[in-house]
Amino acid sequence: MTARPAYGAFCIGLFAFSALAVFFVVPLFFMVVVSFYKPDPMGFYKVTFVWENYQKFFASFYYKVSLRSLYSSALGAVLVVALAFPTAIAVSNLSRKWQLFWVILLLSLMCLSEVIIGFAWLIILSESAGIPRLLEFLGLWTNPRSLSPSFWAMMIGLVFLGFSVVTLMIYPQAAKRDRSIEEAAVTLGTPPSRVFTKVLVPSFRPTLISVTLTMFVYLLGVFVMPTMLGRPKDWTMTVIISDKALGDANLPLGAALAVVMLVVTAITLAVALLAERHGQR
Amino acid sequence: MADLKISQLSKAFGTIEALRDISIDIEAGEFICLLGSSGCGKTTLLRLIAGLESHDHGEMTLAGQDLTAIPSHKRGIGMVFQSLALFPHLNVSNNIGYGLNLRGEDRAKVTAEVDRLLGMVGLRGLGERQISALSGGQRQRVAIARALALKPQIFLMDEPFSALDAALRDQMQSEVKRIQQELGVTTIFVTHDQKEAMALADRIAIMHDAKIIQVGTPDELYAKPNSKFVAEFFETSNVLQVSVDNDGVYMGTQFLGARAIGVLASGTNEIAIRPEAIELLKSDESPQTPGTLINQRRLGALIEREVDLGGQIILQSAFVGQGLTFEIGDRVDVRMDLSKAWVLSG
Repeated sequence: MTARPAYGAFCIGLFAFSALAVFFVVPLFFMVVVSFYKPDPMGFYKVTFVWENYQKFFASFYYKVSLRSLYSSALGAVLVVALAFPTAIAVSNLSRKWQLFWVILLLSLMCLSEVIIGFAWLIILSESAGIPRLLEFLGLWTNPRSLSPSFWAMMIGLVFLGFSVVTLMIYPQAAKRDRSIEEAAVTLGTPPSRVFTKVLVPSFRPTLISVTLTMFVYLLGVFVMPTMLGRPKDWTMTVIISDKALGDANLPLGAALAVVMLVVTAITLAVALLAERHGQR
Repeated sequence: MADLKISQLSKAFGTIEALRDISIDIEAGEFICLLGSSGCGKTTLLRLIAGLESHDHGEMTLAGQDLTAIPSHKRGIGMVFQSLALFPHLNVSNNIGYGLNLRGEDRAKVTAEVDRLLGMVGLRGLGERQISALSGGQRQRVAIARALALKPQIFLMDEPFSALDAALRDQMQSEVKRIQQELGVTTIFVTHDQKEAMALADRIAIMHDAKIIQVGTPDELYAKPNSKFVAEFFETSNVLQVSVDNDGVYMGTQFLGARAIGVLASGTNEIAIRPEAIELLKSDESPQTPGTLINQRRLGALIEREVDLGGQIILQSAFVGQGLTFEIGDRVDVRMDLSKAWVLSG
């Protein structure tokens, strides 16, 4: 009788493991294998073991692109969380009716496709119809020009993309937090204006680090925003990989770049988590 | 330490009246319990004193200074919250020293003060522990030490022991009483447990329906509750609806005893009588006040009995070994010492 629950758990575990293997491990294995094949200018690749795809990464501009990708994703993730956390706290402090309104609004934003968001920002940042024209109308900019493509236009797109996701990730915890902790801080002499930085941010630190890392990984993989709102020199590694694998039909090089990015991302996350653990001690 | 004077204080949340014309003077160094059932307004009163809510009407002064004009973070009030509200990101020492650090006190002074407080609450050596690694009782002690670190003028506690088991609650009550007497800090303690209030307080303020309905020492409240609510809340008095004439005192048609001159006026009265003012006799063929024993239980040195008296259940108590012994179901003759009864106000 007691064996049944254990058997059920084993079956569920086996299913999860199989799904992970089929959808993640097997494609990853093939990607690693292909990354060592020789590119064939006439077609796909030749099954020959070579290092040249990896050598290209360090010998050309690719390592700069990957560093830039890490930088823009990290900056984007920090900006997203810096905006989303106070928003989640502010929403959780509203009446139930207004909380529901904001949650529905944020969910609606999540439903928008990346392409639609990208086009919307193209218009908003454009010279003819967007913010530059408005600033000219207000007399604040005499010779307006389009604000996109640019690094900060791409960053706005990335932040907008992650904002609703992160706000909704933090919101449940913000809503059920023990508000008496903030009141305790006030009775102990903390001015209300400093409660956010003195108590809320530190007590949410594990959550904030976790969502920042999640957003960092998510933004590394974003493709549309860099291509629509960024200049070619702002393009992230995802765009370059896609360009090499699909545009140039150089699948081995694309695979090698993807493997390197995977390793670099894994190392970055490991270092961040170790630093967080060290900081907790 | 300072006197706290509250006068005609009122507070409403929308259409719900949380406090109505609350007036009470609390002397310096006094330990006062706000006692009442859930929703009676006792936590709201505590939060108004702490400055965590704003009042609608009335006055509050601390040592003659208008307390309502001072923002919460400058009131110099220490508070222990029901949830304890310890900072999860700080260890025990940093929780206790939070207010001192915020005030910019010298690091050595903070360390010395935190060590002193750790010793006072019996947590010496646990300063580096994370809050999550503490037991419930230890967390209570940290919350108390943290609230007392700034040497507050008033120490507020909002049902701090409600989540503890009975043994730990008793222990913490003794600790709190000891610390309060040691420091002489004016303390206001919110509870819905009348035994806790009786054990701790110099005076108890009974709250009901957004009002304070009686204030007194535990002995005064126990001996002479002034209303049916207080009598029933303390569960220590029998409340009876009686009619009094020259012949005697009746509950319905049931004769209870001769009229006690000067105690009960003629007419209909709601009276209270303590269980120990009632005696049970073996029922003979013509009992004066017949009843049936329906339950009895030992409470330490006391035995408490429930008697069905014409449909009304009354409590009677006596010391074990004093008086007669009975079995459940026995017919008994109930004798009330009506000179010890008193009339309730409402």
